[in-house]
Amino acid sequence: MSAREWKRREFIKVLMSMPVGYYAAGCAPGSDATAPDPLGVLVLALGPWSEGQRERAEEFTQRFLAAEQVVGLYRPDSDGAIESIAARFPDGAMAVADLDLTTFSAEEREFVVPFVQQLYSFIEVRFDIANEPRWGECLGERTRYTQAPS
Amino acid sequence: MTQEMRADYCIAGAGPAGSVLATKLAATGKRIVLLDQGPSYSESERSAMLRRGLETLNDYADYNDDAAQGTVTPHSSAAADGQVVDWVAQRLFGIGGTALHFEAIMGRPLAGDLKVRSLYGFGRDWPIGYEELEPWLLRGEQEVGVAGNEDNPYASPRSGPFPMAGHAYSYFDREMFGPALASLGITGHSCPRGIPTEPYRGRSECLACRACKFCPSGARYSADRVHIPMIDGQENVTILPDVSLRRLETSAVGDRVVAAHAVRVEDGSEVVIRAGRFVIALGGVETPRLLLLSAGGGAAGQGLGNMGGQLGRGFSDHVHPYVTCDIGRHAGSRLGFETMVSEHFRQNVDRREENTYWMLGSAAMDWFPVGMEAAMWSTHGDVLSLDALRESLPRMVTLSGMVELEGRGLVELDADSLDAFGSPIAKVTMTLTDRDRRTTERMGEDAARIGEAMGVTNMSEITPPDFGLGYHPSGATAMANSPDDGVCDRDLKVFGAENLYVVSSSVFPHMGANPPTLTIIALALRLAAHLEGRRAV
Repeated sequence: MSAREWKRREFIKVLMSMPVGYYAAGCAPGSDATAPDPLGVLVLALGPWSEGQRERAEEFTQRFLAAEQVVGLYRPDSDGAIESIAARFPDGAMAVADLDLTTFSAEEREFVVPFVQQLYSFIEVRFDIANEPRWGECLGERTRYTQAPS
Repeated sequence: MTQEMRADYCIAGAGPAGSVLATKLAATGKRIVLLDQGPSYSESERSAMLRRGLETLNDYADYNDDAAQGTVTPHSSAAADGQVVDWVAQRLFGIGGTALHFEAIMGRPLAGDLKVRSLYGFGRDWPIGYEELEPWLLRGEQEVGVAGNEDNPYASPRSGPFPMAGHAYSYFDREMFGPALASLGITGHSCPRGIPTEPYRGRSECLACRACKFCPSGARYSADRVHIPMIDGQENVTILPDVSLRRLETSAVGDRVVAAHAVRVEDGSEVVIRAGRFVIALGGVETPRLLLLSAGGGAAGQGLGNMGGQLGRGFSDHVHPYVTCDIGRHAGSRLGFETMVSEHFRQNVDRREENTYWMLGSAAMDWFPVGMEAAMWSTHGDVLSLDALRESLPRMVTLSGMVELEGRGLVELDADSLDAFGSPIAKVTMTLTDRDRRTTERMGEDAARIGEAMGVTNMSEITPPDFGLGYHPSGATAMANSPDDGVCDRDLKVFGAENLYVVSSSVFPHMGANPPTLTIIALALRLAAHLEGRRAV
């Protein structure tokens, strides 16, 4: 085996030895993740998930809350807006269909629109919506990108 | 404590240029010292960066994110004012150079790009013609392992085939982008990539991981994965990561480099390298900066190679504008990079009046943050429809350009700002001319026509409105026939210094709309042959 081939395998081995759940800062998927954190409530409610994807959505939500540079975009400056918007949704709400912005205060509106824009810009969210395999996952079916979407 | 080293060649900068050159010279048995200010990234560190990107929801995670102090040299830029815009660096420091995170587009210059002054009345001519450069471009494609098809009607002639077939067109390119171009009389053709479609010299074929920056499969060309392993551990080669070159010491009359003075980033200890020849391959900004920092006696009084006052002048880059579109139907799955481009706008342009550009189309899920436009287009009145937003994202596509500039920028030393070791940093003044601005506007108009032909339902304004720069710095130590026009000669030897050479995008007298990396590698191969006493490939 050449040195380069060995290095490539080393890379893949290290990458693949890390289960996705490990990324969640010690929070394994499937654990109690009803996201009582108001910011987590918003991710769950406003994100791209359908009801059948609760486990996936909760896992993403926990990583979102653990990502300091992401959360730092909103906290603490928008804590008031976050809490009041989160209070609109019942526990564990997912797949909210639309937001009637006329019912939002100026502060809430100022927060929620950029928040949604940011949320749907994350590569994982975009890939998830398009049924795209996870970012960085090598595909066995390399020509998938040439095929018509199903 | 000072460490002294001796070598036949001291090569500063272990990006593609320095690495390729080192492998060729090492094969002749010469003693080589190859140094780089940045670290050598292991495979486990690469995978950790990707993992951390996933962990922190940050797909912009990059190689130098956690670099030690002193690894990344900052630069300053003139404030935006009129025709002067901020220049933002996308440079990387490390074994592999900025190409550690590049997209591996291996475009070639057009023959006319090398003669813009003679043919079109702007910019600077190269002292060599396309016919002299072309064999080295071909050789560069073989070194890198470029996948491409000979289907580009706008390209200048080739003397041989690509090493392997190009990537099959994506669903989007085949069904949407290509037909739209064709309806306007424009040919879409394969995009040459340093990403193999079949196993190549020990590398895997592309496995469509869609995270090309870290390339988990190891397919995409990266000098640290391809060329450095060829010489790592060789008895006549010393590779020094994390060593910052501070200045070149010249003889009293300034006609010869005597030593390279460097420091270890970790502890500031000095390393002095004495060599028969010195080659500077530090990229488009640090190469001119080092020659400025090395001002000495005699002919080197204003900086090495600067007797004609040309050092730092002619700095250029590409503008990268794009538009986001909702194409009204699912744009298909993705590979992580564009498979089709068009160089139509490099040829069908009055170059006396305007610049040229590449047009690329992409299903916009790879790396464009399209959430803003998608959310905006899903808001009707005061209702933001999240259902509409969810449905729209797979329909989002982008059209982007890589736009040639006239090349009126300047690199100089910023005496008010020092790097971690006390030397002035580079100050980049990026000046855009009227023709530069006209071309970017026209690219937006052309994108609108193509979007309309694709049947888009929404299209954004051109982004960024304030010019996206910083990926392809070039031109500030130009090749020329005399010191009145540039800094180095046609063989890349610095004027006035008999044993000093430069090889990087900084030697381009003019940069066309093509990405620079293949040309840089071609020049490194040509320089290696020159230093070995050969002329031909």
